Amino acid sequence: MLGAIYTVISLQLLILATLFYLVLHRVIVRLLEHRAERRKQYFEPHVFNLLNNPEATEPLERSPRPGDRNLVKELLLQQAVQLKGEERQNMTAAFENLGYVESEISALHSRRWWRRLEAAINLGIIQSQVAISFLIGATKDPVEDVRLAAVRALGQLNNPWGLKVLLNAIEEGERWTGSNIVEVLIGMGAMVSPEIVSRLESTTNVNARLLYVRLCGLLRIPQAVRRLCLLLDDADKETRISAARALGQIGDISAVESLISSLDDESWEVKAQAAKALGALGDVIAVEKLKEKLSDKNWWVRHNAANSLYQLGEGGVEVLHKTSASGEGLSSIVAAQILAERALGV
Amino acid sequence: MPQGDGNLAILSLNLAFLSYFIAINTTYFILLVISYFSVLRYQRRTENEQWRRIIQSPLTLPVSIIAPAYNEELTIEDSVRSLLMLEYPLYEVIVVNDGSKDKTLEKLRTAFNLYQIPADIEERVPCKKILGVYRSPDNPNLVVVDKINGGKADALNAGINVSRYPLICAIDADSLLEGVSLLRVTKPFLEKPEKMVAVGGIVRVANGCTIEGGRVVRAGLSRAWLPLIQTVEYLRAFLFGRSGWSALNSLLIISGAFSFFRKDVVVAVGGYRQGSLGEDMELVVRIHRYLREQKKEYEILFLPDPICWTEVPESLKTLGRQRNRWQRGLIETLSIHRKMMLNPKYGTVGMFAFPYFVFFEMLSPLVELAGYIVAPISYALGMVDLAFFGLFLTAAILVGVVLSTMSVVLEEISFRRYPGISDIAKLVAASLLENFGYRQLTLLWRLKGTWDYLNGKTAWGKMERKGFARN
Amino acid sequence: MARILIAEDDPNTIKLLNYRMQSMGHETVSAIDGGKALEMATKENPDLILLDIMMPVMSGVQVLRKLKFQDETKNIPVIMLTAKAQEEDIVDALKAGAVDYVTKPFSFAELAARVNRVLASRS
Repeated sequence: MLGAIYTVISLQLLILATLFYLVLHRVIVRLLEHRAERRKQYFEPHVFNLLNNPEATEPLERSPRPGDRNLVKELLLQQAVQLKGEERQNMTAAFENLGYVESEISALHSRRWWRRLEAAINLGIIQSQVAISFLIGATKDPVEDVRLAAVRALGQLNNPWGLKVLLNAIEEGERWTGSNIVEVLIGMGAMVSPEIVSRLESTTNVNARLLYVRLCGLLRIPQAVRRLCLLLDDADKETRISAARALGQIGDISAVESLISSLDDESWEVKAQAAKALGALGDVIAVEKLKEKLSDKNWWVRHNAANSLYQLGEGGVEVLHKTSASGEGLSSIVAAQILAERALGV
Repeated sequence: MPQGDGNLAILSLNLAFLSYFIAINTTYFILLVISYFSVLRYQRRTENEQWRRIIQSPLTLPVSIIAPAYNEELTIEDSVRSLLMLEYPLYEVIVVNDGSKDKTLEKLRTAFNLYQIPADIEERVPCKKILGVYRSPDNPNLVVVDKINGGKADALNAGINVSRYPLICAIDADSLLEGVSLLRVTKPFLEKPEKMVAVGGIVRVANGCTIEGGRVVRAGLSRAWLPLIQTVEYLRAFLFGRSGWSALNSLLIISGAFSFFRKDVVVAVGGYRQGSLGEDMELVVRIHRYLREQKKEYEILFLPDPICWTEVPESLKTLGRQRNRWQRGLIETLSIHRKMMLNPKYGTVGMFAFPYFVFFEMLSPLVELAGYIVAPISYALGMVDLAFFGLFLTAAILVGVVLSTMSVVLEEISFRRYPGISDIAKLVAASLLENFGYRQLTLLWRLKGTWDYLNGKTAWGKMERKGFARN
Repeated sequence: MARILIAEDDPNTIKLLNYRMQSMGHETVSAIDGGKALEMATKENPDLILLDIMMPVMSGVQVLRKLKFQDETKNIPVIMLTAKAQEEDIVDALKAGAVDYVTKPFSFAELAARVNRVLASRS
């Protein structure tokens, strides 16, 4: 069969070609890397010069060699991301003067999603106000990674549009991943808090409310405490759990009574979070109830109660010593464990 | 041309073998193509990722690393030290001393200044008796558990019972992780907290790498042939095969050297199976089975990022024992869960992945070796012509070479962890050698493994420890 | 004019700090991980050490403790370099003997002020 012979020969040729390609590719890549290193060394001092003189772009523009523009861009970005204050602003001016802001903005429309992603990330580092409206457009990109990068970039530019997009996304639910939204919002800092609290109060969407509760905890928003205490009685278990956790993270002592009643919740997760939160709040009136929970049949409730007792100072520690010495059941073991761990400093 | 009925039977037999080889290599090829897209996509997403930002995020999920240790006195201190130095905001390292007969526990005790503490331990999953729990004041995130010997699965279960965090990372005591390993592997859990239940990382060959302080400082290729060939083998079979299955959400194996699970799911299915030979695969298959039976939406992912390195056998004897054990573990898992085979209730796992493992992994030693015997004999006796024999050799060996080289190509255009020019030459040589002798040798070992399994041999073999200082 | 040791695992950060310190008129040496940082500190006897809190092999705080333990290096003032959210590490570092810390991203003015203050109080 001639066909068989052709198959064999063509396969062998394919293999040889691939092997040859591999070695060639590697050699070329190495050569390009070496060259890039040398070019970088040439450009570096001029890049550093820009930190104080954003107008001194001439030496960086002079070279027409292909690949140099990207190289210089890379160098600039590597340094810009490590700076803040006056030098960072100078870098932004330098980016603008060298035309990189323009080129990254047009890359936001690239057909390749990874180029758009790179552009959004870079514009976040560059922090040029010129890019704002384009980044806003990028928040509607079909690829989630790009949308996120655009929103993050807007946050880095202290522009509230990004915040608006995300808050709407929370209500919509589908096109965005919850944890991604939460992470970006946290990165935006203080400007986010008043919006979150008002939405927490007003929203009817249970999933959205869960996200807001989570954010209030992570951002430690004291204005949310009143509403969170009310949510400790909500019919939805997840809401109660999140509210208890958030109250612990905020640490506002006015929540102590509500959390103490949550220690009798029907769900062990809520009890465990409430037990943990009470340690953070620091009010010793919780000691009695926490002591009861040392004998709870759930491991997490016992351990969080013991930990919190320790955190509550003398009164709590004394309870732990007494319980540990009593030698009765699980409560004495858990008390002994917590005391031993703290004594070792772990 | 062949004549007569007897010859017709021989010809059919040869055709059968040929079809088998074509089928197996076609499947491999499909997986490879899927992997290409999957790997490149992953690379593009993570190229620009600022890992330093993620490490500061308050959202990162805390992890309990569980490292079972049995007779590891030579290397345990180095391993644990490097595990304590990972770049991750909140995690604990649980070393489970599985009744070692050597000085493993003593070494740990002195190296880390351990004190025993009373411990309230919840039996979430079954495990043999725990003798003591130890903590170290200098290393607050280290927990050492001493227990009666029960095997690796049992030790992992003990670790699960002691662990405090929602994600567990099961590793081998001699796995070498990179600083950013935890960050990369927990990201999928953050992105899909409801659905993601397990993530596996790629394991790469550490032989030949420069290792300092339990870390791979510079990736390199071994000078010895055997580990070098295994490097390409791991690239082909582990990296790219698994990426393919992962893209189809039918990943059946996550390497026990570095695997992540959501603890609640592992507890729900009952933990690792005690006394199991291939406890890593068995757990993953059981999780697939459980979640599909419960009709829950879930995802088990494989990450192609090079983030875990392990020492591979350098002698034929040890390698043979390892492959023997792997084969026995594979057969054991497949037979325990045989209900899933070609069962539409189990979706792509039951209809594609399971049959693939049965026909192309479990049975391949039998079929392939038979083919290697029958085909040349048939040709020598003139029952098949040269063209046919040539086709057979092509399907059996040459296509394998194509696959191996394609794997090296994918490595070259994505991660390129071995940067030197001589490195690529070595990889090229290894991808040729792998198919001329090495693969056939592994078939023999796996055949022996099948035979041993059928004879009821269930013990683990031994691997000589060489210690960590190698260049 | 002082000799400053920069211990940082990110080579870009080393370049940046080199530039800044040199533009202030100082001499610099650098180390890319904890082990080398200890070596260089002992060998070069710098006037000040800028130490990154998170480094491979040995963490910044561990290096700091070792520096304070060795006679040859215990009197060299150390400024820690930290990223925003590493609060507990900062406290640990200060307790272990660091004289100050600077957060990343860097402000040149802040770097200069802190470095100058430490060097001035040394002489």
